[in-house]
Amino acid sequence: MTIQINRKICLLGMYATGKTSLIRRYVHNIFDEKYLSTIGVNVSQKLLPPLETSNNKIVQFNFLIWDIEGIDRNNKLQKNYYAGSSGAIVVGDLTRKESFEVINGLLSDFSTICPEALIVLAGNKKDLLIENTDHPQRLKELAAQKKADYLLTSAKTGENVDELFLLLAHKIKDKL
Amino acid sequence: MIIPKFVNTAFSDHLIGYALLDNVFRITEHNRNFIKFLNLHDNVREKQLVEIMPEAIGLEQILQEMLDNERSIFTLPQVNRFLKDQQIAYYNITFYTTSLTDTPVFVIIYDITEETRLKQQLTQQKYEIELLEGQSFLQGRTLPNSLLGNSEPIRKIRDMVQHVAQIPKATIFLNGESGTGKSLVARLIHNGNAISTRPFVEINCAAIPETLLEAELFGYEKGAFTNAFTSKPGLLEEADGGTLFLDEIGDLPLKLQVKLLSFIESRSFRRLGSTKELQVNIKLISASNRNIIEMIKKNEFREDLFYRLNVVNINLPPLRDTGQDIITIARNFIGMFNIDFKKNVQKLSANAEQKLLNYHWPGNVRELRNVIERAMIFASGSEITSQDIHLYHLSPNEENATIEKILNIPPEGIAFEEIERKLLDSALEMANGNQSKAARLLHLSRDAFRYRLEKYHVI
Ligand SMILES: Nc1nc2c(ncn2[C@@H]2O[C@H](COP(=O)(O)OP(=O)(O)OP(=O)(O)O)[C@@H](O)[C@H]2O)c(=O)[nH]1
Ligand SMILES: [Mg+2]
Repeated sequence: MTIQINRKICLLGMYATGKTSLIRRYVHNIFDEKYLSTIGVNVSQKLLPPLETSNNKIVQFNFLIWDIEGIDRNNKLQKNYYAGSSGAIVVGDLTRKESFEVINGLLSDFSTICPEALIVLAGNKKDLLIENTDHPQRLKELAAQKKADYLLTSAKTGENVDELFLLLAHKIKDKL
Repeated sequence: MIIPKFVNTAFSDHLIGYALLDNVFRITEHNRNFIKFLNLHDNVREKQLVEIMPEAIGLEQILQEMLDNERSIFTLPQVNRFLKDQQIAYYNITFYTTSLTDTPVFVIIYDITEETRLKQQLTQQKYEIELLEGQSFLQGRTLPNSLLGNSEPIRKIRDMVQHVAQIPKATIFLNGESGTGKSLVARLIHNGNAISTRPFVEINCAAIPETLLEAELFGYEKGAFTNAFTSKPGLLEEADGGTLFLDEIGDLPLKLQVKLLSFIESRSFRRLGSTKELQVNIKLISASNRNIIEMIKKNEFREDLFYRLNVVNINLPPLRDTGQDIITIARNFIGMFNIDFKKNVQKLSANAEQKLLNYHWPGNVRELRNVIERAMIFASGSEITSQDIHLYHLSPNEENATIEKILNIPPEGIAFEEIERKLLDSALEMANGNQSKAARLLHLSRDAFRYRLEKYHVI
């Protein structure tokens, strides 16, 4: 018997890193070159494929995916968005070094409110990656430091997008 | 009905939706806005909150805390909802405790769409600008090729840039007509061979009123002047360890010329309202499109300052003197705009090239860029033809001829003031709103120009 479970997850990261685009690719399989910056939060849902737990139960997550505006750490109410999350995908833009520099602060805010939540890092816009940039290296270091997994993704080509959400789903499942 | 009718009416008038929840978070009462805002169709009484408001999933613990009186209010600001036309509506959703036993929680949904759309536009602009600035920074990566061209003068500049980039405390003066890329060269000098993480601070001396300029450059202490409510470091301090680029230095007021000179000589300065000497380590680059030597003769610029600024002089040639480089640069812009406009323009026709080569380019590379951008918008095929190329300025001879024409008074006569006002408008437009520049275009002093602006209420 499949058990269906609602789980809330957040997408966090600096403005224009591709949070909205990753969600649109994952949920609706579409991509738009045009940038429309998110203000506040937009919640989407996606029913994931059934997964098997270690004790042979089948669970199926209904993800409530919170697409949160590019982080403004001065906005106190913004932290209210995090309440009750089981996980977060933190997105950096591989073409912008500074988008990785904010991740530490962001994660520390998030983890204060959701200490149990699971974290996956994404280095997005892989399609634009210039050879030999050191940003993936920075991502690797951050992931190691936070003991989190990471993936290089492209909302544009779809590369690793399903994998990104599934990776988080598996981690949440393993903790059930 | 717990909510009285008059409250109901008032809430409807003020774009507020509300609902009361019972102990297990079922809706017991709500108004019409509540279902309208949540995009629901019918009455939702008895429904679980989480069934009709996905944002509530995950808030179980918060709501429980409200029942247990551990928390009295909780807000989710700026919740997005897509409308049918793909526009976004924005709502603040707030939960309050009521201290009523049967309906302990009250939810308000407040429609903030109008003001948030405005905020969205402003934020979007800000982010887009930051992204663009970041890109030009990234382009520094392909250095030194970003100063395009193979003509002798350009090659010489590339060598100079390479050279002075290595010297940390160099003082460099760039001169060249407007649009020749002084700001780009300053950045190239700053970056050297790699993207620099040191600060690059740029200020346009003509764009900032004299009173603010001093405070901007040197910083100030709290109380230094009427509006100095806090202390603020100046650009000199911000540039410490990196580069300060003073563009249009010819517009630096004499009083500040003295202060700048004293800074260059001692490499130290004080914030306004402070007695403490501060020391900074910077590469100083200044630039002007005006003839500083002429200004010195007219006592408008200090000679001693100029010699301090002009330790290394880089002269940027006007585009018309760079020969075939015009075509190289134009091709580069075509490539860039192909990406921006999603076009596939492959080449310039022979006539188009000739047209570009024959023109005198008073606005230099900046003008070339605009001309190509416009041509790309109109070009239909894979080639830009000479018809696609619109040149803004007449050649100097033709220009004189038009002045003659303007000055011919039509038989019905013409109001002198109208002409004057039109000239002010045009000058401001040509100078992108920069008043000093506009004044110079009309050969007027800044004051004389301002006086006329006020007279005609142009601003
Ligand atoms: N080439 C490329 N562009 C991308 C990718 N992901 C997003 N973009 C573009 O990057 C821009 C920003 O994407 P968004 O998804 O709106 O970014 P965001 O993180 O939601 O931004 P905020 O809402 O402002 O925080 C858009 O123009 C996207 O088209 C990607 O993987 N590759
Ligand atoms: Mg977004």
